[in-house]
Amino acid sequence: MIEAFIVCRHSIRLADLDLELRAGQEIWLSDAIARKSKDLTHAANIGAVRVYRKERVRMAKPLPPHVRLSRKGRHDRPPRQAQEYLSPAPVRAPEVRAPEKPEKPEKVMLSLDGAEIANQIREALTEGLAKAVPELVRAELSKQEAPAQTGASASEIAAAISEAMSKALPTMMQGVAKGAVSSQGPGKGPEEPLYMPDNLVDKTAKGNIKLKTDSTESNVNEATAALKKLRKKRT
Amino acid sequence: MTDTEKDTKESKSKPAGKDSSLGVGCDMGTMNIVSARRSKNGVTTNRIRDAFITVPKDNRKMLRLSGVNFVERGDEIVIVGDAAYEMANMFGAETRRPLQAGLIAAGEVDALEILGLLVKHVLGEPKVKDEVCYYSVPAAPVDDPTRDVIYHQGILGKIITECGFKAMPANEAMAIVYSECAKENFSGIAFSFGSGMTNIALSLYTQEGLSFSIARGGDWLDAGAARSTGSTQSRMCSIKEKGLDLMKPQGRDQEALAVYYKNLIEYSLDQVANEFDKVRSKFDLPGAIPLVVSGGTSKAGGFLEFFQEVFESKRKRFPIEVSEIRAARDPLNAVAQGLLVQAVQEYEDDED
Repeated sequence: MIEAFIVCRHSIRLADLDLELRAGQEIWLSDAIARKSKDLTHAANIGAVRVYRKERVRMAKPLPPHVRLSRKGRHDRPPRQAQEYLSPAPVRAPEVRAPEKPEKPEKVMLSLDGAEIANQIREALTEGLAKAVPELVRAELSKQEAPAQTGASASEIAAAISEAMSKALPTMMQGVAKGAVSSQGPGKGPEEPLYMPDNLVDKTAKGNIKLKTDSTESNVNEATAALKKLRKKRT
Repeated sequence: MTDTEKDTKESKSKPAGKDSSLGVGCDMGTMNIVSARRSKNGVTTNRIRDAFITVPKDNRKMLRLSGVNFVERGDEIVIVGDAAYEMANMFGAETRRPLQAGLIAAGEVDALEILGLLVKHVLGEPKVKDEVCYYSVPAAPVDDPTRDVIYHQGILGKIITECGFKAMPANEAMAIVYSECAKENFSGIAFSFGSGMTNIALSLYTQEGLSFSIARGGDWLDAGAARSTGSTQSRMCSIKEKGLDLMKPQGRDQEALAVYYKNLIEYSLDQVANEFDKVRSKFDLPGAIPLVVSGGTSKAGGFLEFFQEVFESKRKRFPIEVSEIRAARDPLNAVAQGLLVQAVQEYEDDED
């Protein structure tokens, strides 16, 4: 069953769902409810949340990790069968000793911090991409370096480079062509929920407003045609 | 009935089929709000100055006769646009502005309602239900992390949605690339010298490689020049708008403005170098790209030559190879037109 998976990027209140999401929070919602919610759509448009529509993975709970006893512990404890044959240790008068410092617990090297693991993976991927992109671009360029032989035009080379870049840097593609926001994201949002007031446009206001209107022969049509051409080449 | 409402009636009578004029671009500037739409002659832009003052309701008749832009709101009348600016200058008062330093003014209580009114009038009615409207949003400022771009973007989106459009946010400086760099396949570096802040973006074949803003713009240099000459900010703004030749400044006021202009350009070029260093390893630039300057602050006389002169002094340290430096054809409307290109593309995609 397809459900809506919502990842909150900046704390926000979704009034019509009666939900208050904190940055980093992830929730599942019924797809129908998610589609109906105007506040959720708005929050997604402004980048406060990301909505993914996917099927929830249902799998068996993984077995607990096999905990191995320390070498010392294994040797100290004899097998159960052997314990029966062992004579009890002679009782000795307790020695008076200075109180020992408790042994330091062994360091556990396994970190279960998901965010830290994610960061490490992200860093590794970024490093990999940084190395891969120039190589990909050079490879694409060398393929099409002789336009007379291959018949490739400058714009085709451009499209190829663009394609190579988009493959290597998927993050640069996000929302850029269709209403890009800053590559840095819309800034570090406040941790407190965003208050978005309603009824900001007074439809009953009366008045006299004249605008400065100009009609110019702009290059918008040429730009639109060029953009369309570039996109077609890319696809 | 307002002029916009008249336009609306005309537009409503048109069929809502494959209308080639669908899609709107809206530049939400600190100084001006500009909308752009395709028309038979090319592009039609509507502009209103982003300023207001309030006066008691008794003045309604006088205002109606004088033809000043105003809106009735409760017990008061709100004078909006250029008239607000002129009246404030006349009476030595300060105009109130819904946007300050590039973002929605947090302390201005009436800002949101006035902004809603201005946007509603500049956009007019949508031609079809949920017509796509791309609106400009600044990038997060690199030198002032306290500025809340998220809230600004959300509020503007909500206003546009309430006006009946489908609101799509887009980076301000990238819009200049869409408007001015079509012949370079939308590759270039754009500087939008606005009133509240300066936005900068680097684009490669429509891909946003780098974008950021700095919390300095026209208002910053007016304030600085005013401080150093013992004048007022609005006077400096007026000197700037009346005609200032940056290559030949006359008198102390103009010289002070030229000093601050130089500092603003140097600072923005330095910030490009700093920010580019952070992403340098991510991509290789294929070759030299154009640098486009735009925005109201770039309308000062001799700005392009002045920018080129400052750039030449920094060229060696500038990390991007620049093929040419040019000004946008229409600096006040370039952002709105670039947003329009993106909005129109939404319908072109649908046709495909």
